[in-house]
Amino acid sequence: MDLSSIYLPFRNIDSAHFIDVYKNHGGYDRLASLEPGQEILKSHLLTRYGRSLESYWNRYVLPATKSRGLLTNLASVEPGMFSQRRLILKDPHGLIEGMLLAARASGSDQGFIISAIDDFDITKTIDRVLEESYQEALWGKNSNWSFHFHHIKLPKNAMFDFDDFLLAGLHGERPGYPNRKEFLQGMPVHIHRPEEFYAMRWIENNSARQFNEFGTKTTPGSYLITISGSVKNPLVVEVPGGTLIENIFEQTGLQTNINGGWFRWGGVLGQWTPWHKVKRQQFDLSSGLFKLHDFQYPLMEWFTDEAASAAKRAMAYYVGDQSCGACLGCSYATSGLLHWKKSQLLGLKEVAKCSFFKLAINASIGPSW
Amino acid sequence: MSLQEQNWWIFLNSWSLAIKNKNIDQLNISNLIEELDLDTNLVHEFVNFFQDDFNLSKEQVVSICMGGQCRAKGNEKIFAKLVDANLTKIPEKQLKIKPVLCLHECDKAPCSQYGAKLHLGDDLSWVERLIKE
Repeated sequence: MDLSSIYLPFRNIDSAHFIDVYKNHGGYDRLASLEPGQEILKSHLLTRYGRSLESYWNRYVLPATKSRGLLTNLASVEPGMFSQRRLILKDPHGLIEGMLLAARASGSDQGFIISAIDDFDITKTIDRVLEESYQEALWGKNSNWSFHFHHIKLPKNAMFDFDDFLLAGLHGERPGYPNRKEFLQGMPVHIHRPEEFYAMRWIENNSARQFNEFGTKTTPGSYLITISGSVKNPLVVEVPGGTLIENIFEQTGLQTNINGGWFRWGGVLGQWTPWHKVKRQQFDLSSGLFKLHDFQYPLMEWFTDEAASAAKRAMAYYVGDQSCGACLGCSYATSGLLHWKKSQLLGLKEVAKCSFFKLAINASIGPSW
Repeated sequence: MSLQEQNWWIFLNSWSLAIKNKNIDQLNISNLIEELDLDTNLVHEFVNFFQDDFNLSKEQVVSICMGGQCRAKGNEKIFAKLVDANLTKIPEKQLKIKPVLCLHECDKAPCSQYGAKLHLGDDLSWVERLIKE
C-alpha cells in the first residue's frame, strides 16, 4: 500500500479493482479486527458544512436500537468533477470498505449507493464489487454482522439536492418543494461524498492522529481537491488544511504574480471571489468561503475574466437543465439568470424555496456575464 | 466447394461491394436470396448483425460538452461554428449537434464526441474535417 496517498493508496498496484488482488494487499483487513471504526471516530475529518464526522453523525439523537443508514451519491455528472469517477473506477473496493468501516463507526445497518442509470461503467463496476464482497461474506445474510447494501440506479435529473430531489426521487415522487423528505424509508441517513469513505479507510488502516497531523487545528487532515478552470494543467491533488491557495494553484502552471481573474470554489454552484482577494488565504474547510454546502463539491477553479463569463453561461445551462421547475421562482429565473438585474435576482432569492435555486442565484452574482 | 457455399460467397461479395460503394440501401437482399437460393433466416441474421456498423442513413450525432471548463476553453465557438456549417449543408448531410452537460474528461478540455469517438484537447482538425465532409 502506498502510504503517501490517502485517497488512492493502491494506485501503483495492477488490478486492485478485483477483490483477490485487493485483499492480498491488505484490503478489508481492518474489518476482521475486534472493534473496527474506532480510529474513524477519533479523527477530525470534516464533512458537509465543515462539520466533523462525530458531530455530523450525532446530529440525530437516537436510541441504540433505531437503525440508520449511510448514503453516497456517485453523481458523476457535475461538470468539472472528473476525479470522482476515475477514483471509483480505479479502486471500487475502497468505497465499499470505507462504507463498511463507516457503518461500524456510526452504527449504521444499511448502505445506499446511488448511481446514474445511464453511466454504464460505474453501475457495472459497483454491481460487480458488491457481488464480490457479498460472496466474501463481508455484508449480507452470510456475514457475521447485520449490514445490507442497496445499489439504487436513478435517472440523472433525480439526483440533485440530497434533501429534496434525490430522496423524493427514491420515494418515486416528483422531486422538489414541497416533497421534502428528511428521512429515507423512515430512517435517518448520513450522506457523504464518495471520497470521504476513501479517507475513512486510510484513517482506520493507519491512525486518526496521523491524519489530523496533516492539517491545521481548524482543518485537520488532507482533502481531495480537483483544480481546474483556465489553468494549463488541470489536476487532482490531496491538499492538507492550511495550505495557501496560490501554492495549490502553482502546480497547475498558474504563475504566482498573476493578480487578475476570478476564483470559484464549490463547482458549478460555487461562490465567485476575485483572485487577488483569495490567493493569499489559507485553505480552511471549517469556516467562511471554503465551507461546502449542498450541491457544492470540492472543485477549485481559476478563470480569466473572459472565461469566467463562459463558465457562468455554463452554470445557467446546468441550472436550467437540472432544476425541477416545480417552484415558480425557479422556473422564471433559471431561464432568465442571464438577463435579470442584480436587484431582481436578490428579490428572487428571497422567494426561493429550495437551496439549489438560492445557490444558483448566488453563483450568478459575481463576474460580469 | 459446394454450390451453396459458392452462392454464399457471391452474396458476401455483392454485400461488401455495396458497403464499399456506400449504396447498401439500394442492395435488394430479397432478390439476392431468391436468385442464389440462400437460407433467408441466415442472411437476415447476418445483415442485421452488421447493420449498425454500416447503416449510412443513420443520424450522426456530435455531442459538444457545455461544462464550465470546456466552454472556457473554446467549445462555445466550436458549437457555433458547427451549427453554422450545418445550416449550409443539404438536409441529408446534416449532422445532429447536441450540447451536453459533461463528458467527464474536464482535465483534457475542450471535449466533444462524434459517434463513439471522443475528441479531446486543442487539436481541432476534426472540426474542419467535419465541416468539409
